[in-house]
Amino acid sequence: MLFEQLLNGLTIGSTYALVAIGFSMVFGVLELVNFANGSIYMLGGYITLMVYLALGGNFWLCFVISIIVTGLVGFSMDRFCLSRLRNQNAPKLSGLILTMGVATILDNFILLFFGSETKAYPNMIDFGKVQIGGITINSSQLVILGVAVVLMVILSLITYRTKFGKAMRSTAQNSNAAKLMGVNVNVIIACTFFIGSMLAAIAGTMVGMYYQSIDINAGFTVGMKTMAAAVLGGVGVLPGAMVGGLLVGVFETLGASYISSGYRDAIAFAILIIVILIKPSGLFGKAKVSKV
Amino acid sequence: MKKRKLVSLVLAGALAISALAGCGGGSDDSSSASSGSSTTSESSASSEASTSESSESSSASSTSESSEAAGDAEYTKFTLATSIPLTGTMMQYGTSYQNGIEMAVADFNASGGLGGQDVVVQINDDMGDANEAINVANKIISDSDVFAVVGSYGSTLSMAAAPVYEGASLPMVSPNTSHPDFPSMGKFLVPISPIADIERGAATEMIYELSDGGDLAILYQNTDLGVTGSEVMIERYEELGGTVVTTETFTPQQTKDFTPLLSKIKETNPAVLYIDGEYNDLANILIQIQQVGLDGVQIVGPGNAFKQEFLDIAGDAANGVILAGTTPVYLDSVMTEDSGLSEAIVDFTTRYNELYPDTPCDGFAASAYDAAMLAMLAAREAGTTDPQALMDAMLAIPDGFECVSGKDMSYEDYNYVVKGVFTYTVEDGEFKNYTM
Repeated sequence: MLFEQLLNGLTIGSTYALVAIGFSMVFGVLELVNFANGSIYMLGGYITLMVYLALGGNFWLCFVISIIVTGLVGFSMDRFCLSRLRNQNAPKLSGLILTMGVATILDNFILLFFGSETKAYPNMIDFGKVQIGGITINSSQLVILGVAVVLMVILSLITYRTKFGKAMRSTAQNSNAAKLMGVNVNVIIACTFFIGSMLAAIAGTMVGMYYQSIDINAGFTVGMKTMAAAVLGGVGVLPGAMVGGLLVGVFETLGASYISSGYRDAIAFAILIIVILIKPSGLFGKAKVSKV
Repeated sequence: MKKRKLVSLVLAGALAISALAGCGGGSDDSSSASSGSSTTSESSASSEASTSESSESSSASSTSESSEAAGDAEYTKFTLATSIPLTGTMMQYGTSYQNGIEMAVADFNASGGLGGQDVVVQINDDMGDANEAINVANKIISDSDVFAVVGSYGSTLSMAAAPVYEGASLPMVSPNTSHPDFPSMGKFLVPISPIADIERGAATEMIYELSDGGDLAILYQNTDLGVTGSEVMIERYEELGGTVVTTETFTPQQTKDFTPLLSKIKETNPAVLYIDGEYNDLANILIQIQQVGLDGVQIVGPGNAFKQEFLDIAGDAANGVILAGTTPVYLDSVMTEDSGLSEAIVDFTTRYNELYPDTPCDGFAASAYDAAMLAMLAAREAGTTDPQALMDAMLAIPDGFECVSGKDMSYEDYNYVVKGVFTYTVEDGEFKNYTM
């Protein structure tokens, strides 16, 4: 049972990780807590479903459309709202409140547009399940884990090996200095939002497929967990967000199965608080580290 | 350095707060949230009660002089108020309620209304939130033209608002409040759904017979009703001589991943698994049961799942599940000659689906229709001046009342409603009547 539960935890944890990376990237670059991340995750899942139901046909094409559209929503949020605040040197808190506002608008938009009913979701990643001994492994779980790992590797490469990544990291360190060095800071930040939102859309759609349903409460819980994941790993550190996401997933699964199912979230967050108290900068965070 | 530390501290603080909110108050169904709000409601109700009662009685006596009396019943109030969730996450239930209530009022007015005068329906949105339900209740009791209120969705909301209505002696007809403590909360409360004991008791007996007293596992939602419902089942099952091997719980609207619970249940190897939850959670659990591979376990569930949406989400995973509830299924697949459904139910379903083609008829709409109809027919019989007379007429089931939300409806022990139990199974993605 332990192995099966670990796999359950890793699957749900890897989707947290994907959303947490987007959250962590934005925080790294802007030092901004993006409360809208959970809502964007949900929006991504809904857009895939909507495009699929409206156009039918190829699910994967709809998936790609949704990833791009959701990315554009994230991009617009920065371009039309946050960048204006930055240009006026508004305090960081204004940006934080703004993301809360965007989250509320997105949630209610989805509620009005799609209704509060739980919607059925097509599962395109189900290729049966494997029995090894007494353990049941589901193919959807393996696909989600695989996709998450691949995306994490790609993103790490982009951040730490490419020129674009270097620009991102320099913006994170000191945006004014980066601007002086010829980095187009606004483009870099907008791209960060674009990538973060795309990741959220991928996670939202995959979770929709995994559970074969989506409902309007999906964003709230995930938003909470991803924040926890990012803080646990060390905010602004990409590998930290990945490990943090996986750990939160495993904590809550094991907590639910070995301690008490009623306290699953409480257990996950209690562990989180303990870790932060012992190591305030998170597992991978260093006192003075370049953040992206 | 200092700044970093500050940021991480702020983040940690925000998380700690949000964690608490997420566990306790996030779901408006969780028991801690409801106990908190019901205490506030009681205090506000008691302060409200004294003022509203006096204003109510004075306005009633002043208007009664000018109003005409038809027969021996006096009609002084013509508004039927509602407290239903039309926005927020419970919106879908509110929509069903609104449809059912408006249809009932239209039917009633077409049949003559109250002494020739039409009943007016006043729609109030409580957003599916217990605090808001109390606000709405206070607004309703301050309106002297209201003779009864229909609402709210769910035990948590109804029980939060009940003391307010009780304090104002305003009859509250609640379509789907099945918490065992609700009827005993006051003299002016009329449930349309039987308390959970009836549905759960019948389900428990059926499970015992079905599995020859095999081991039972229970997975229930962590709400007022879910907790008491599972206690009822455990007690009853052990009385019968069976064993309950494990009980697991989840938070509705928040828990999306049931696999740890199901893997754990799988370990205990039960013969039957009873799942108590709303249709969407139930459907998700059934899908995840397939993923976890819980083979050879009979799944039994409550009547909440008698909806087309349940079948749409669960798909093949729903096949073979047995569901027992006090409302019937309102889908075409069971609207057959041998279904045992009354003519009133079949007629209601057809008319409802013609009126509201976008929202298929379900138990929530039917219960709301019954709630509104019961209040209005009783008002026709007993007049609207004396709330106690109105209550007595409702509990005696007024003439011409045809229950569309169940069968064999009657009231016992003052306001405990009793109804027959329907059982269904799912075959090839459709509900079928189930007989053992």
